[in-house]
Amino acid sequence: MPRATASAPGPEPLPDPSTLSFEAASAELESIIARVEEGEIPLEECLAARRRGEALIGRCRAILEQAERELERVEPDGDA
Amino acid sequence: MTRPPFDPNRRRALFDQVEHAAAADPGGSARRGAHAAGDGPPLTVSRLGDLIRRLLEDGVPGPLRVVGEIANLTERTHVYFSLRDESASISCVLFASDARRTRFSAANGHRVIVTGTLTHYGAQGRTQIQVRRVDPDGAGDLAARFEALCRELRALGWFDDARKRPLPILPQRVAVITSPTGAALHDVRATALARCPAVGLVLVPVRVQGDGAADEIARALRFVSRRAAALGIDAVLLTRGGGSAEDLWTFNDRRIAEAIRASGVPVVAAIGHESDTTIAELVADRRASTPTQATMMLVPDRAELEVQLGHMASRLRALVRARVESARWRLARNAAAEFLRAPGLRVARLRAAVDRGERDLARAVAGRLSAASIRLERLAGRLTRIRPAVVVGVRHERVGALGQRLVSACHRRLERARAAIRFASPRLSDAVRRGLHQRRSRLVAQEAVLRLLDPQRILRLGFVRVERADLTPVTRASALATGERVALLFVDGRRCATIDASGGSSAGPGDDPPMGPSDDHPGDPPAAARRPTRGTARRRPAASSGLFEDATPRPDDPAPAAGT
Repeated sequence: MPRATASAPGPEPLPDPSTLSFEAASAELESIIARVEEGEIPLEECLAARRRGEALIGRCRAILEQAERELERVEPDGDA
Repeated sequence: MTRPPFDPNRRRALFDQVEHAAAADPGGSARRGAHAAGDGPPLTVSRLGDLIRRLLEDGVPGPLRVVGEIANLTERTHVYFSLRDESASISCVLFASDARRTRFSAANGHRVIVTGTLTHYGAQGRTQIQVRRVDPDGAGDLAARFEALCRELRALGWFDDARKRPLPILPQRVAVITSPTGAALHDVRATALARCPAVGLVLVPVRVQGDGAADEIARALRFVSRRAAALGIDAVLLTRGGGSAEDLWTFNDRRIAEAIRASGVPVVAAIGHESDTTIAELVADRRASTPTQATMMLVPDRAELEVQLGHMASRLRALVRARVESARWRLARNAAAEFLRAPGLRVARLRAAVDRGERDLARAVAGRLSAASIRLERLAGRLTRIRPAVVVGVRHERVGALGQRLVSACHRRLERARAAIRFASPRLSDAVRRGLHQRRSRLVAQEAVLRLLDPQRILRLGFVRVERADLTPVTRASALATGERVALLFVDGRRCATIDASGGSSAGPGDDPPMGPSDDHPGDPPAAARRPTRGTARRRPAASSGLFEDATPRPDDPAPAAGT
């Protein structure tokens, strides 16, 4: 069953935190906390979860620390 | 303005007024009289038109308010339409400048109240109302239409909370649809900057009141929804400051409601003041009372977020720590955990077991050694008890070989044991080593004893073994009868002899001189024994084998040769 093995549900590679929006990062953070809270995460993954969580928190902070943005202006183009 | 609306049915009265006015004018009256009489120069059409215009403008001073239904609406540079009721119609013109000012978007069939002046357009011979403004008919019309739209949209479910989308926690960019010059934009900017400068604002400038504003706003909403992904926009803020009910009426437009409902990104609306409610706000995902409040809904306070993140971080850390701690605790309760917790303990235990094994081994080796040496001693003791005479005549060389074998077997065993000990543990106690040494020296001594007992050696010393014809050894002189034939065994051979009658014995019966390997002074042998005798020396293998058997250790088995 090589195909079955290939399509076996493995842990999906997590996206690089630096590519995540604040929304996505904090949502993942919440889910990690919830999973640790409910003891769903095996012990050996606990520390990995914590590392991931710290990375997500770092990402959120980085977004918050972004420089002040200029007010942009767009004119609506032709209507669709 | 307090006059009642003009009613076309009342035109009869108006003409009466005109006639009355004309009658009051003496010149006019004369001219009318002349015209009526048919004499004098005729009026030109232009003059007549001018006259009609003057009569109308003077006789019906504006502004008039006329109620009716719009028909034949045409918009060129100016707006032309007819105002009519069941039985009458009047042309209306709304000049472009006035059309821009009026906020009411009219359409055919609308019942409106037009405000303007009655005039006559001579070029087309048309009497018309020059309209200044157009208002919907009836005082409660706006409210009625608002209510009607509300009912309709509520029935469609557009106001349902269920279809309202949540706002992003921290939007990337917010599209602000508002007037570029209004105070609302200023409030939004200032609030967003104060709360979280990282949130980008994208202004989509629109007119927020007047003709065409509703359409512009609807277009802006559709544009943002369509380009949201490309522009990185994840929320819309639709807002304007306070104004009159008519100013805010734009936001009750159904097209805006439709655009908000179709928007791909959530919309927050804040139109006018808190007391004002517009359709746009009811359809929007969130409604705020002011532009500032709307901005606060969309742009979170950065410091607050930082605090929340801090909470999450410490919560995560605490949770993981607790998890690890509880696992450690469970582990500690587990017997297997002992090894993990204190590996030294187990190693020490193992070491103790090894030491114990070593001691057991040493004891076992020592035990076997001592067993061997006991056997050896017993053997040696037995050998001691064998008198040389008994030994003579059997295969004495075998005895020697046996001794040698025993000795070398012991040696080999010792060697093996020593090697085993060496191999097993270099840390064998000195006691064991001392024991080994003692046993080895004892063995050496026993070897020497064995060597002394060698029958060959005894015979070599001059002792002779005496046997009867039946090969039984003769150990006492008294046992021999006179004339008895005996065999004498020497170191180098066997002779026969006959016992002399005269042979006096110095040893009496029962007097058994000690015979031992260390006995260097045996009693004098009988004279006969010293005489070489003639005879055949025959070897008896059976005796030899008997001796061999005797050599095997058998506890409590007396040596056969002894005690004869």
